[in-house]
Amino acid sequence: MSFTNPDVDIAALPRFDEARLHALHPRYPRLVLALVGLIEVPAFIVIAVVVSLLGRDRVPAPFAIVLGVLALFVAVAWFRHKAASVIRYAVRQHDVIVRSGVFWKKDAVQPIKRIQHVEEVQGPLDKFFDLSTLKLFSAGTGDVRLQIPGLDVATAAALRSFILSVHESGADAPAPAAPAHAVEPAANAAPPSAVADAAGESAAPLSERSEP
Amino acid sequence: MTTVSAPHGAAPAADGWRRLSPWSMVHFTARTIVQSIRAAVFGGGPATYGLARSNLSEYAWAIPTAIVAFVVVRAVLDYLFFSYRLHGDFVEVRQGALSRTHLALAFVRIQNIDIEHPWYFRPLGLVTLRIDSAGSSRDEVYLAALTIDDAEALRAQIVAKRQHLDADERVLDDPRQEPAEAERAFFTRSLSDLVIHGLTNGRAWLAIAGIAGAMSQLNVSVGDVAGIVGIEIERLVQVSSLALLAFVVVLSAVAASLAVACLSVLGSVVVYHGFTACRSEMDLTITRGLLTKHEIHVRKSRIQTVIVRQRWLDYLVGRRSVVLEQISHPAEAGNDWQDVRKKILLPSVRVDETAAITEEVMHARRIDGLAFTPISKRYFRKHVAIRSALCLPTLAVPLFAPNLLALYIPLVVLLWAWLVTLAYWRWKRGGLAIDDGIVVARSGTIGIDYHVFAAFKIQEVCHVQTPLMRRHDVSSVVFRTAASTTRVPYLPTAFAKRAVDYCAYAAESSERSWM
Repeated sequence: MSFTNPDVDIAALPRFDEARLHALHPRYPRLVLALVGLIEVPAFIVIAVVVSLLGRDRVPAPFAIVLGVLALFVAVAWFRHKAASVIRYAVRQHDVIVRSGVFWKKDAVQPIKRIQHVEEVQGPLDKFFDLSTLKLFSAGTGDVRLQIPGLDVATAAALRSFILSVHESGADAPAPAAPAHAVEPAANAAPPSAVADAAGESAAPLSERSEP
Repeated sequence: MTTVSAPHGAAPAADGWRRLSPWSMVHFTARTIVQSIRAAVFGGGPATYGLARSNLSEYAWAIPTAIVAFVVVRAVLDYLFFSYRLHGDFVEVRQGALSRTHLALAFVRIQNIDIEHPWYFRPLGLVTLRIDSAGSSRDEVYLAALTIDDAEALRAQIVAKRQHLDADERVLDDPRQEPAEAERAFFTRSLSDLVIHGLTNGRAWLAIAGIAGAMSQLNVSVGDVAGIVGIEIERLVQVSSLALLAFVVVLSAVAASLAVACLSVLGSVVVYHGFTACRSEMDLTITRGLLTKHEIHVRKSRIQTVIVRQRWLDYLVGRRSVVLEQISHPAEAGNDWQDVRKKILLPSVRVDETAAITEEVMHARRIDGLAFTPISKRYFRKHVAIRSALCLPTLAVPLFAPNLLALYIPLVVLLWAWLVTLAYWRWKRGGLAIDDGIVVARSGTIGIDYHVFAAFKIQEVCHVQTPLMRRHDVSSVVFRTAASTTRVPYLPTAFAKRAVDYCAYAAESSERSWM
């Protein structure tokens, strides 16, 4: 085995900000609204009832308080809805990119090789909306993990099996086709990556990493 | 499967399970005492006292006796029910009298193998072998009261197994396959170095915090302490002048800091006495400790991040601490004692010695002379704005207390100036350099800190930008390795994006394992 160490042309590397981004399923922001509503609506009713029962003599300006709480809850719901609708994800042959954040826009690049295990989660509300969340775990500090919420079940399964296939076969599995609803106008599709040429068949099998 | 001679004649059973020597009961006793010292002191002590004062005083001996009996019985049971073997690709341990646990620790998962020489085994010439895994702290194995030969043999056997299992990786790590080289010391520290380390790195705070914690359990107030010592605070205030009181306060502050410094130096000497770091092709061996001698073995490839840290006192004497970080465990974050053990700290490193260490550990030939891309001046402006906004409202205070005006305004201005100076230093220190596959993030205020890691060991890399940052073309980058998270704020966007691309490329194209 000969050892070479050629220079890397950094300018020619595939760019993460040019990857083709997919939107989440259109039902996902509604799911988030429903989730927020499940907590906020009962909470608001309780607050309104308590405030009105206490009456004017014990609470100054009860109407203003109820109105303030309502405004706060609407703002929270709006923000959560907004945050849910700005999430985008991209899948390249070697990594998964998740874009999120309303104010702090964050692009997280997760090399598939570094993923320790994949979890597909479907809560009761997810089930109702027929969506699921994919959680990607890697080693490291905190319980930091990347998750892609609001995927329709077929996409989540395809993505999961793609990630596992990359683990098993090195890195030569074809990327899964994007779901029809989710394709954003692509800025410009990433060129056949230099990364792909360099990678070869390397990734350790997933089974080895999830040993006891 | 195993060929190690049985320690102390405890012959292995047919299936390879072995018992520890009976001396290990000393280890179990020590462990129980450490685990339950609080309960014993804060529960048993007052209970005995209470019983002695009550009309049942003739039974007061029962409580200490019960505690001692508990400790002894538990140690005996722990010893009787403890067995271990090396079997297949695992170290297996069965332990526990009431709740039986069976732990199987895969050789490939083993991070460190330490040989400890606790003081209570020193006269007997026995040691404790600690095997540390990449999993949680509960996957830790202590094999107590082994002879040094047995411990060394076990360690050699585990290392051999591990290297055999990692054979493929080994070929990738070093294609030339040089014959294994003998260990060679490359870094040692003298007593004077450790004294400097103790003075510049306030380790005593750990001890102080421990004492303070104990005090709070006792519910002792300052007044109580003064009462015990025989000072009546009220009278003191009335009788003596304000100047005398100030003098006493200053004097006690000086005495306290002297005491803290002494404790700190003592702690440094106890922990790092005889510090020696040896190298071989694949591993590092670190020996340290005065009372309990630690011998820590770690594979170089398992080190994720090297942190070169300089506190402000370090800066004055031109020293640094180098911390080698391995995989960290989320559950233990924030636990200082765990951190102290999991992280390997090289104390009191001179600035010109740093490069040799980073080169040895992760082939980073230099960190000081690199061409760092500085962080944007916007970062400084932002912090000046935030700090000014925090200081401004406090200027309104003299409106309510006009007689303080002359003293107060200069104080606030001074504070503001200090905060701005710190922000300036923080801005000046900030920077990122990527050189030959090594990422070096620079930060700090007075002292300079470096986070050094190989680009291919990245677990995740993020690019973060607010709309305001976007307008000024700056971005933050967050690098996450298995050991730590490093954030570099306010880099030029073009550079930040290429850094993200490069790290992703390095991780995805490298055939080396991050473990």
